[in-house]
Amino acid sequence: VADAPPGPDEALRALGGARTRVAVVLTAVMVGTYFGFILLVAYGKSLLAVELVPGLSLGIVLGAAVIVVAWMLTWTYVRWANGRYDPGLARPRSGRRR
Amino acid sequence: MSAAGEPNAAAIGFFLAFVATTLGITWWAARRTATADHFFAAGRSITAGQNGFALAGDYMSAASFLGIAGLVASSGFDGLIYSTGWLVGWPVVLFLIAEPLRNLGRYTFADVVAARLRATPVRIAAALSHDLWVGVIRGGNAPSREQLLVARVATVALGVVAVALGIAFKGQNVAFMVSLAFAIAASGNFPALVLAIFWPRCTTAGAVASMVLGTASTLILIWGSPTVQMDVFGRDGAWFPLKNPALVTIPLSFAAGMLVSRVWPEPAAVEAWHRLERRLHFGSDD
Repeated sequence: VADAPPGPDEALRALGGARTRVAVVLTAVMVGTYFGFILLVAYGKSLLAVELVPGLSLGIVLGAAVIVVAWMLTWTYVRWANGRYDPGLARPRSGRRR
Repeated sequence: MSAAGEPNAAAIGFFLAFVATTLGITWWAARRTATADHFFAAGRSITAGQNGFALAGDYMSAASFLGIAGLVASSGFDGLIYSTGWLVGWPVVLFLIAEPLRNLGRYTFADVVAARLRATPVRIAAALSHDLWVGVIRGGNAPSREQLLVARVATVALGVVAVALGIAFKGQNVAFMVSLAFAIAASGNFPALVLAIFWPRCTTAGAVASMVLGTASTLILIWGSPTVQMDVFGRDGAWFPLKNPALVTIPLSFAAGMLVSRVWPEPAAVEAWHRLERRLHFGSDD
């Protein structure tokens, strides 16, 4: 490790920082969306009871929307992890083994 | 006119067919299970796609289909909290915990916590039959055949306990019952896991205190809840007001872990954290 170039360690550290930021932002969006919905369930019942079309209330649509948001955030993370994080992890390490 | 709770030939027939199919698949799989590694991790040959199907199957359970449908029918929007809340937990686990665990290369709760802290007290507190037998009683070298036997006996014992609990709690909503099981796991395991992964000063004693107090307090407060005292025992009141104690016991478990870690520091655990930190972030020590 002593003769390793200075680059890879900084690259890894930057990658770790980037992962933490991505994870925190995505978690904040998910938690914010969920508790926003929960607050509406608790305090906005009359709003959620508004029927968009007969038999379909706004509450059901927003509940489904929370689930769709969860899918989209998961997709975002998987794309980032496969496109940036994993290749980024592999690169400095293979560089060091040389 | 169909009456809820009345025996129904079609329903019982479907139930028996599903149980028979499940047992058939299990029997087929069990004949291919030769070692403990097969038993616990399917020979480490599960692909990401297969794992995804397993998680999806786990999620689309009786709790989702019967329990949540029933809760929405009987409680309206309040029932939706269950259907969204459980799903929302998955991405958060993915973002915050899954990647560090993958990098660490450990997948069971006790393995992760034991990787950083002293293993024996953690395994005793986590009380997994297999861990206890192999790691503690046999000092880490039990033959694979023996490990498998212990695991199978423990599985049967757990099944018996589950059936007994199912009879005791019959009439309770299944999604609510699952939420009680989650409350025990969330109080007994989650705080110790989070502290061990993210907090440098977490100690072995702290993790054990968090697990023991989290599990014990949850069981005691479920015992004192309206569900057990009033619905099961038919008493007039309950000495603990909440039906699900997690709101109290998860913070309690965190507090116990942090307090004990602060009062009795463990320098070796701090050193282990710095060694582990690189693995958690980057999946390697170098």
